[in-house]
Amino acid sequence: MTGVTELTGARGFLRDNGLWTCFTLLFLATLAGQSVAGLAEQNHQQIADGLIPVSWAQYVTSSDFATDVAENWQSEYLQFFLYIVVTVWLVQRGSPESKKVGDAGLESARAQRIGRFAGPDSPRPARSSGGLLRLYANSLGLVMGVIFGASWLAQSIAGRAAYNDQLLRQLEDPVSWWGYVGSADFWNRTLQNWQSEFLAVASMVALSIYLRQRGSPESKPVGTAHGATGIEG
Amino acid sequence: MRGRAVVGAAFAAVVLAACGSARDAEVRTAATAFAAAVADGDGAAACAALTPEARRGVQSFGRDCAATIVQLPPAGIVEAVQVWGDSAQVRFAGDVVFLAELGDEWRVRAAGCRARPGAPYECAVEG
Repeated sequence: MTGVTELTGARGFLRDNGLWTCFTLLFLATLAGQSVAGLAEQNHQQIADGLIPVSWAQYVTSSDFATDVAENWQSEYLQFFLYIVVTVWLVQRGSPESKKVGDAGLESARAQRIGRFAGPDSPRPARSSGGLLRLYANSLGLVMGVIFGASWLAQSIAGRAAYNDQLLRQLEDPVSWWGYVGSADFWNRTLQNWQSEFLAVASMVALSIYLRQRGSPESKPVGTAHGATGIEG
Repeated sequence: MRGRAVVGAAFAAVVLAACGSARDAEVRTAATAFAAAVADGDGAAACAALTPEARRGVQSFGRDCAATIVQLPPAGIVEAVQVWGDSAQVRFAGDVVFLAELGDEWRVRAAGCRARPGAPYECAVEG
């Protein structure tokens, strides 16, 4: 086995954090692109409604932009929250996205390297017990769930503001927050995002049984049998 | 650290509330000025308070805006103000008025409005 070449400085950081860096830059670039495209659409609507076009700064601080961002964020974090939690208990034979059939559940302390089975390099909470261990052992799902909840709440608040602006332009009465979260607009936005997230996970789980991507940890090694479960490349 | 975050959030809430009430006040002023102009028979001032679209609507079929606009019923006192984005609604005792923000000022886009169940308001002045 060859050793990893030691790199320092920026090169070292990029080599060790390339995956996070790539997707963070993609996120920032596409968020910027969304703001430009969204501004153009917003101003098209402003003119159609007999109003004055808004600036980019006004648009990115508007409830319309906040709603469009939040509705996507909440569904992404819901996807990850459910994926993280559901894969504890449900398996998919043949998928690298699943634990091995028969391993469903929280697994043993030895398998999870907690308590007396923790190693010298284990995170400190893994060596603890009681509430701290339970909290840390569920921290990934909890954080994803909290971010989902917070962004869904943000979608409901910003979405209500944007919806009420639209209602007033149509000479209709604005609605309360409760009225908005029970509205077709809120649930149409929510469910159109959720369906795509769940489809993506289902597709990945199923396609990864039979298809391969050489070198990706999201795929089984190319020569691995279709029936092999929980093996990544 | 936690104390500073709480103070920061409280400060932001106060600023947002202040901005919100300032916009409410601007809308209320614009709407009451329009209603007062109508009540005083000052059609020119009332027409000047309309959006260009609303004014065109009043002037359709060759009508004179100033003469037509003063035929609106008296609005009465302000009961409620709602501002969302660059749109607003002012509910008077005797009328419902819709406004739009054009630049730095609020203009009336609909007045003399009657509610219809499950449908937009039907307004005598609309733009």
